[in-house]
Amino acid sequence: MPDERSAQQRENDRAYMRRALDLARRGWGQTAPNPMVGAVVVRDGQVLGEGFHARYGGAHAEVAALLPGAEVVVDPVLVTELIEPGFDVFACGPEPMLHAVAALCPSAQLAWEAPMACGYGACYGCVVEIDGALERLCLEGPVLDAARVRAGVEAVA
Amino acid sequence: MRILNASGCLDALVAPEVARQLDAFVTKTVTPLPREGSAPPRIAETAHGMLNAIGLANPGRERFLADHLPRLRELGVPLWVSVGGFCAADYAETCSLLSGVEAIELNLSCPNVDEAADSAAEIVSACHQATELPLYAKLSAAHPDVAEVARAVAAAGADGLSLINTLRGTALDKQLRPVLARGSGGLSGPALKPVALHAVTVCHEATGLPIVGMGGIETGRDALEFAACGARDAALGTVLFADAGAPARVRAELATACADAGVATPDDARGLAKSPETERKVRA
Repeated sequence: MPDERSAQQRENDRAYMRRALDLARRGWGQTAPNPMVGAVVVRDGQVLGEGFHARYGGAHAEVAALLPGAEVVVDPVLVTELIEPGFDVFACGPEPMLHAVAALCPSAQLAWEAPMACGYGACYGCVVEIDGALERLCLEGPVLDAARVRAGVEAVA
Repeated sequence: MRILNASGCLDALVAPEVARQLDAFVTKTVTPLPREGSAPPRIAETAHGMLNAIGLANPGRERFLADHLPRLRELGVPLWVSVGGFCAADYAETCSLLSGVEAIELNLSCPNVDEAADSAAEIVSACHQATELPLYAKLSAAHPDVAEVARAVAAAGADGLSLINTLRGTALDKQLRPVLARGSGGLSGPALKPVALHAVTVCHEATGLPIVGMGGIETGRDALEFAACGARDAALGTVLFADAGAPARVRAELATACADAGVATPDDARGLAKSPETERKVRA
C-alpha cells in the first residue's frame, strides 16, 4: 500500500527511476521513430535487471532488462503499489495489462491500441466498445479514461 | 475521368479535406435501420491488400437523411449515396426518399452481410421505378459470370456500373484462428486489380454502360488501365487509408500516364485493352 512505503523506499524508487533515465539516454540518436526507453526491474530492493532500447528494431528496454533472466515474472500489482494518491496515472502497453491498471486505478488514462488501416476515421476498422457503443478508437481515443472502455480481452486476475 | 472514393473508404464529415479532392463523394452504404456493424477485430493485413469486415455500420436511413445528408451537402462536393438493404423493397424505399444528389449506387455485393434475398435485377428494377436519379449497380466479381449480371441489371434499368466490390477472404493468426471476429472479410487493395480490370472489360463489352472502375487503384497509371478496359470514372478505396492526398495525386499522375501511353485523355484510352482474341470475335 502506498502509505506503507517508507521515506527510504521512496528515495530508492527515485534513484531507480534516475538510473532508468540514464540508461535510456544511451540510445540517443539510435531509436527513432521510437522514444528512448530505459528500464530497471526491482523486486524487494534487489535489482533483477537493467536495460535500454539500444536501436530501432532492437529489443525494447523492458525486454532487455529481463534478459538473460527471462524466467523472472514481474507481478503487475507491484507496479501499481507504487502509485501514491494525488498522482495522475497514465499507461500504455498490452491490453491485459491495461485492464489490470483499469481495475486498480479506475481514474487512469489509458492508451488503447486496435488495428488501424487509416488512423483518421475513414475505415471504421479500429472500433472498440466505448461508453457502451462501438466507436472508432482513432477519433475517440486512443487515450481514454479507463472507465469508458470495455475491450475484448478479460483482465488478468 | 472523374476520381471518386469507393463506398465505405472515407468519412467526408471527419475528413472533409480529403473529400474535397474528389469529383464526387460516395457515402458509406445506408441501410433502412441503424447497424452497429461487426465485432472487432474488423481488419487484417494480407499480402498486397487487406481484409475488412465492417458489416455495413451506418446510422440508418432516418438519421442519415435528417442529420448526415444535410451536413454532407455543406461540403460542396457532388454526392453519391450508396444504398443497401435486405430485399428489393428496402432499396427502393431508400431510393424514393433521396433527392438532390448526383447519383445512387446500389450496393448489391457487400461480402459482410447475408446476401439480399432478391436478385440484383429485381432490386435494380424496383429502384428504377422508385427514383429518377441515375442508378449505379455495384457488382461483385465473385459471381461466375459478372457480365451476365451486368446485362441483367442493364436490362432492369441501371444507368451505370460500379466495379468491383471486395472479394470474400480469410486471414489466420499465429494460432491458426481467423484474425477477424467475423471469420471472413472483404479483400481490397492491389491484390484485386487484375480481377477488377477483367470484370470492367467484360462488363463494358456486355453493356456499354458507364463504369466506375475500382479495385487496387493506387496511381494515375492504375486509373488509366481501368479506362483502357472500359471504365469512364475511377474510385479510390484502400489507398486512401495510406495516403489521404491520393485523389489529388492520382489526378495529377493521370495526365502524365496519358502522355506516357500516347493518349490525349483517359477517354481516348477507353477500349484500347481489347485482346487480339476479342478483336477477332468482334470482326467475325
